[in-house]
Amino acid sequence: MTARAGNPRRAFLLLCGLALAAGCDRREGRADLLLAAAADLAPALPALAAAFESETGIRVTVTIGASGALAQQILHGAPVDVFASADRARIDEIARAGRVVQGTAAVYAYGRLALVTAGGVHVTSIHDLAGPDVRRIAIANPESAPYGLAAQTALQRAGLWDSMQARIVIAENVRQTIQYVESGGVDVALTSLSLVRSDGRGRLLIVPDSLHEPLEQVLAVIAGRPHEREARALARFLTHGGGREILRGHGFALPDTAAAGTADSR
Amino acid sequence: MIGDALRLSLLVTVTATVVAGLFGLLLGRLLARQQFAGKTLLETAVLLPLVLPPSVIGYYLLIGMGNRSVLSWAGVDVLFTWPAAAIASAVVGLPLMVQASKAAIAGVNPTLENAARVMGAGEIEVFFRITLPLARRGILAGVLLAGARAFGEFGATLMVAGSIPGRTQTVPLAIYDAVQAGRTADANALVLLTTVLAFTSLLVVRLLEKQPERRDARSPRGETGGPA
Amino acid sequence: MTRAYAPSDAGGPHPHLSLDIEKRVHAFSLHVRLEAGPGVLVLFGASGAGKTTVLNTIAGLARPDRGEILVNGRVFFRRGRPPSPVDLPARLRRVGYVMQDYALFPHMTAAENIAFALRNTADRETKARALLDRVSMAHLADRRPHQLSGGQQQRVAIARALAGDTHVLLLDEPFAAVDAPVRERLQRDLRALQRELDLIVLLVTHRLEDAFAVGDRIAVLHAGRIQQEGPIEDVFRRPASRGVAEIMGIGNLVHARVADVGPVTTLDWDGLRLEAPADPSLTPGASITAHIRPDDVKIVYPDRPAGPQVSHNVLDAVIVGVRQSANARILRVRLPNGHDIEVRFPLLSYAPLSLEAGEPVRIALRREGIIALGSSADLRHGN
Repeated sequence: MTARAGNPRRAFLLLCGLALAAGCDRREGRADLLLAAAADLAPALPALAAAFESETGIRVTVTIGASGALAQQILHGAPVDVFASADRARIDEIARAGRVVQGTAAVYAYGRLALVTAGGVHVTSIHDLAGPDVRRIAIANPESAPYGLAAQTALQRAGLWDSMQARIVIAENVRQTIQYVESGGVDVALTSLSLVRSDGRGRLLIVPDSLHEPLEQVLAVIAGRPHEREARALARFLTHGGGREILRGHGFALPDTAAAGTADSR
Repeated sequence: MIGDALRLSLLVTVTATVVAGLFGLLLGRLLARQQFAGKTLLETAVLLPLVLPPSVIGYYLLIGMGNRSVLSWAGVDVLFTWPAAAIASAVVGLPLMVQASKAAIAGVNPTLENAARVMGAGEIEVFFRITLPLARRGILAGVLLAGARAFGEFGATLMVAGSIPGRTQTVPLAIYDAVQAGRTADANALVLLTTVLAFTSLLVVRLLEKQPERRDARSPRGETGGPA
Repeated sequence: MTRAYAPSDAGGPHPHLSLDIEKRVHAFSLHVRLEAGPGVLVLFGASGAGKTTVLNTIAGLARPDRGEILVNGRVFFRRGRPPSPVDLPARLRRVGYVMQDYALFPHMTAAENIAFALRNTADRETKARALLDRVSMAHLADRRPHQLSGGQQQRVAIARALAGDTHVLLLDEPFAAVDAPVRERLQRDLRALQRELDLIVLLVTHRLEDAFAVGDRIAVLHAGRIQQEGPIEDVFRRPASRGVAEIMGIGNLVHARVADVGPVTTLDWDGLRLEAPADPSLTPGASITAHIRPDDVKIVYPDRPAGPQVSHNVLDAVIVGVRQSANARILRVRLPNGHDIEVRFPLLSYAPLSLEAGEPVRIALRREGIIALGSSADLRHGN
């Protein structure tokens, strides 16, 4: 009995050792910021993080999620240093709970709505959506995603909302609308420009800003964190510094520097 | 990025499996052998993670590990770290381990354990020398099931650990991220790996279940009245 | 083998077990008092009578509601009476217990099973093999239980039960699943062990022949109580009540006198002469109690020549009652000497015959079906 017990025991210890070794990846104690970012920032983040690190030497780690979930996590004490939301409402929410450093809430970008089609569907303006070869169109959920609401507003203002009801597919978030159009589930997706710009796939049309309310994307520095000075630097980089050009290059419209700086939390 | 995800998944899964394995084994023995007030409640509570949506589990865990929790009060801040992911994975794997070990232990004839007690063995010895060896196939199957489930955990992990590459982005989270970002090569590689792993562990579980159990206690063979 | 323990020099009083317990069991209450010294005490009763529960309370696997259990002066259990409550855990009582189905550990060999019971004793492998040798199982020491026959498993179980240097050996239906020749050998060896080791043996069974084969004393358990207790012959000769007689299934009791011995024993049963198998231990003029097995009474077809089965003890009787069980018919017949006996046969037998109450019937009692009770040696019947 004892001889046979040796093998499983050894395997178990070996596995534990491997696990511990895998866990030992501590970096040194220099400032290491955690940026929580909305999904539509995803394509821009590698460039932003790299640029910031080369400028300041501060490493930025990113977690991407739905703004609502991120806000909840921050409220429960998740160790986020800077939160770049897809809207203003979430920032207000956590500011009310006292989780935001005074005066750091700022608009860092305006989202832009884009119309993406699968190959073969010809659309030159939003009004073409009424056409016969557009059988289904995907938008993000207007109730929870700012881009979804913007898409709804745009369709309403174009006078298409009611007539298209049957052809509208609600996706969970903007990234999913792109999946739908890529997989052929829908013919058209109304989504964030930043997410499709890097693609080069399919056709893309930018929806005029006049058709929807501004998609204000607001960031803030989270209070109670050990590296507040560095976090402020990152926020400033995004709103006033080298981050702006990177954001513009990834399909976002930018606020005036002045306007951005005075956008305080209400 | 794939390497990080694999490393993190290894770490998180092994930790979660060890934790779920130990707790699950103890709970399995308790539920298989003891009667006590509130036993049904406990059983139901343990099985909850099987039926609750992962996002709900994640939300409960967020409250349980966040800044208003006992953990935090005790100075333990695990949100957005790999231990949080391990806890989430352990929680979803636990019911599988409990069910499997409970069934395995209940399948051990209690008379054998009683015989051991009458021979002078204490409870710990009875457990390790009689119950465990006889139940080990079912228990191992439970560990594998819990491990497979822990590996694939997503929703709850996302809530309490976030999806931070290199820190908490396990394989399932990495797959999701890669798909969303259109990095299909990465996604394919990870999906293939996950499928192979899942299939292998389930296959092993199946094989374990199929092997004939030892015949228990009396099985009088042909009474040829041999040397006896 | 140098015995690990010697009888009665265990430094203490002569081995003795004293039990007086009450326990609620399912639908009834057990209220049992027993005293036992070295020897074999058979605890006899129907299935479900609570016999196993009694053994379990001695071993420490069941707890009585009230009462006291003492073994060799040590208090195993006390509750509900002065001085203070005691409930020694099973592992400290260390009685030898051969459970129903033997409970051999299937994942250990025979030798390992016994070594387990030897705990951390030095040289336990050697001692285990010695114990196996004592029960003639040394050559099978490295077999697993599923590789052993029922009788072999039984012996290993007994050796394991004795490994703990105990003075008390409990056995629960030890002979239920073994065939006759195997059983007889086991019974003989058990008696020998008891004598050699001066053991208090408490053996549970619901089979008459097992009780006789090994028992010195018998305690009949029914309705939660010991209805009668005493030396086994006494209880059989004089069942305290019809109930006791019925429980023991000794319906066809015969109190007869030995008329003649020789190649055949001739009995005089209140005027009726019966031939029984030879028994050298009987002397003419002795009184014996015998039992006629209902299954060994044959009915003689009126118009057929007598075959070998039906050539002895042919009697003309009258049917006084007929009843039926699931797979047998039972006739109650009145014999010429005024006594009634039961005759039992499968439902399909004797189909052409009309067998109704009131009718005459010719029966033949097989010699081998007449079993002398309380007689020591070979008036036994295998199957």
